[in-house]
Amino acid sequence: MIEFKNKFIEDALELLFKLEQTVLDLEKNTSNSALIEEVFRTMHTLKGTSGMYGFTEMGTLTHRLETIFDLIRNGRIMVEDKILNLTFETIDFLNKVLKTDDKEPLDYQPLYQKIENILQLAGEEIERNQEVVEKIPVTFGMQTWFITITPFDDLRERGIKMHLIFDELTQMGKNHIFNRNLKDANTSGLFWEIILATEQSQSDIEDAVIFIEDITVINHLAEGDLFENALFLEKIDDFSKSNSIDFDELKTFVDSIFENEKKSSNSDVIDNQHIETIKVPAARLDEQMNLLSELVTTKAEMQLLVQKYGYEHLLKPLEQLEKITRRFRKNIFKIRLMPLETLHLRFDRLIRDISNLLHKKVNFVCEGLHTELDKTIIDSLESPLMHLIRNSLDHGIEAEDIRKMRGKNGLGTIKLTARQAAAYVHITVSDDGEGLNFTKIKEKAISKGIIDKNEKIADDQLKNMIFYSGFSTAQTLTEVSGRGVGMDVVKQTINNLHGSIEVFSEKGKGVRFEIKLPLSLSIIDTMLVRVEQMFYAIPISSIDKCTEIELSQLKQFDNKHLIINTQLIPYLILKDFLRIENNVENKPENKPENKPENLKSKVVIVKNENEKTALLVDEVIGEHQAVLKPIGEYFISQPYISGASQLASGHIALVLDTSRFNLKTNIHSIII
Amino acid sequence: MKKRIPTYLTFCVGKEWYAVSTLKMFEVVKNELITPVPNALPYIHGLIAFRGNIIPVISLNYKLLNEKKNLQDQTTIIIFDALLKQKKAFIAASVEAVSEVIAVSDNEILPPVLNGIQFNDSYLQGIIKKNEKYFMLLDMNEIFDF
Repeated sequence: MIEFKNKFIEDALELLFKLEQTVLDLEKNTSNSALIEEVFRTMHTLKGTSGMYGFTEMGTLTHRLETIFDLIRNGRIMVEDKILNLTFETIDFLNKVLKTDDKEPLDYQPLYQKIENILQLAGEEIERNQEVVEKIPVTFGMQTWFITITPFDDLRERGIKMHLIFDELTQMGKNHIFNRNLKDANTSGLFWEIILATEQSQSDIEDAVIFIEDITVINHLAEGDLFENALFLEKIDDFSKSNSIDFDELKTFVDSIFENEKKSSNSDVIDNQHIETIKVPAARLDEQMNLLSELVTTKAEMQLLVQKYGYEHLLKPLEQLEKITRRFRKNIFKIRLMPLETLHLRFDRLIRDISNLLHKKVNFVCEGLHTELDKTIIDSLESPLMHLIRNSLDHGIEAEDIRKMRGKNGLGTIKLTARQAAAYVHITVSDDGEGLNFTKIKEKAISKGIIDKNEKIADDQLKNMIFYSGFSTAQTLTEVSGRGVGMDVVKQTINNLHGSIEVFSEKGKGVRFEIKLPLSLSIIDTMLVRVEQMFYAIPISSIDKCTEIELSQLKQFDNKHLIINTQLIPYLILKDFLRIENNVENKPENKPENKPENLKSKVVIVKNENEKTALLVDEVIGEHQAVLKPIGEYFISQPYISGASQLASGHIALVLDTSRFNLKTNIHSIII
Repeated sequence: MKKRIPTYLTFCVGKEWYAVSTLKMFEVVKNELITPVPNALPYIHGLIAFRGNIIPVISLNYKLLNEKKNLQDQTTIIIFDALLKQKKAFIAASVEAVSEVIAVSDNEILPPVLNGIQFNDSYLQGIIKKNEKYFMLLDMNEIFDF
């Protein structure tokens, strides 16, 4: 039962997602009857299934909201902001219901009250305590009905003239009447089966057969006019030859016609929208990844052995194995990719909510959202991107009158673009607002003690201060910017994803954030270095260059900086920074390292934004494609180790997050 | 149906004998390459690769006797299917050597005697008396907790 329930929750969340999307569309085009219909139908499905899995309250709530949309559908009330807001509120609420435990029941009353208010305004009494029953939707347009009339012997005694009833029915629309005669039946054996396509409603048909309603069954067969369907007409001929029609069988047949039509039309028009999908628990993909990395390591081990002992006849199959693992890996990574599009709805909703709140209208433009990224990255990207969009809307875009005064289009634009280049995805969030306020940022930086009052500082450096923690120049703490994360968290999140973020601003013209992210979290290109007996992998994305220095250069300036190509770069001796106490204790023979004849040292220069740091290592080994593995909770106090990766030799290399070194060095100039 | 008698793996740390339930044990490996981690917590022996994962190795010598000296002698690694902060994870423990697996019925397990032990009380689940020998029964999840 539990798994059914989980399945239901999953489905219901999907339905809510779809509903939210449709309502957002509806808001842009409130008179679109197709969208209203869609909203109604989605709610209807939700209502129907929720009752089955013990979410009765949810069913009732959806049912009541559905009543409002039923009225809209019938043209009795109009789509208003009030109704849309209530719908969004209900969607949020139901999302909450589905995501929380049943242990703490949520209060439905406020929503019931709001729905009732709207219904009362519309002059309608809510059908209180009415059971959630499956009702035939009262829709406009052509509908096809299936009517069975099974008369009793006393038909004539009741003075009913069947031909009058038939006249009335046939006038309603296209029809086909089957005259049936079952000789072996107890009754007269006469009965009629009628297929009727009409624009009139069910109650109109009921009116027509009111005198014989006790012997009449009316079933809704399909939407639209079935008499226009060639397959169906063929079937009618078949039916004429048979003795009677089983409604369920007929319905199944009709549904299958529609199903097929849908399929063929879909494949004609939009091929990629209905790609068959399989839902797989993420854990299984992770397991697959683990197996793959074992395979990769084993293969590399084998290559080493072959090289060492020279089994030449093995070289060819090994090469083949190499190719296959490569393809295998590529394929697994592809499985984990998802289009950014999945976040689109969240952004639309955010823009809607905030622009309503701030009474600012904006044009939200998205480009390249088909770009794909690892699902984990997409999930963690949601809140930073939301924050950037929120900031643009709240602080960037000016009020309409001010914009007009400045000679801009009254309607501000926020643009989100994404594109893939090699193993990276570039995402930009830009607006055409007023740009960063450098005077304010400077004031703030001074008050925070980050820079000195008299310090001359270029705008270029100043702009990066917005990423410092606790840095907000918001003029007033609005409801909008009050919630969510700060820019420092945005930067941290992007860093954690091995990405980078840069800000560009032009006064009066707007702000642009450029984010660069690796396609996948689980594999990164690194440079492998050795420090004593340990191997470290430094992400290539953060490396500026590798070089060699004379040890005497360390003391050239102030014992803290190196001068490389006339640039002053703070340095860090990895051997001292990454001390392994065990080794020091156990292998004292390792201690006298700096032999005088060892006058040179390899240096890897890493960059974070425009800050560079030089890392002194013992050896630069070369590039290594690291399958990144987490190393778990024991190491959270070492944030500069972002994971580990197994080398072909069986050794484990620790992957360094060099941006954490920079954090240590760039806040108050340089501390080593 | 006959009830299966639970089994325990025994090993020696320092001069004392210990036992852990084999239920949550994955396997015992020897002479794995253990990679130390700089600036790690004192009881972290290092990292090993295990089935495509990279998992931490906890030194039982340190956890039980608070001594760190003979890390390179602790070459036998027991891999557990543990619960760390409510999450399932593979965690390994290193010891000098393991002894045998013994079957112990529940009535052979005595309640823990807490005075005189050098480590955290919560590590000790009970005392096993078997063949005139005493084994301290350890709760590995408590030991792995931090």
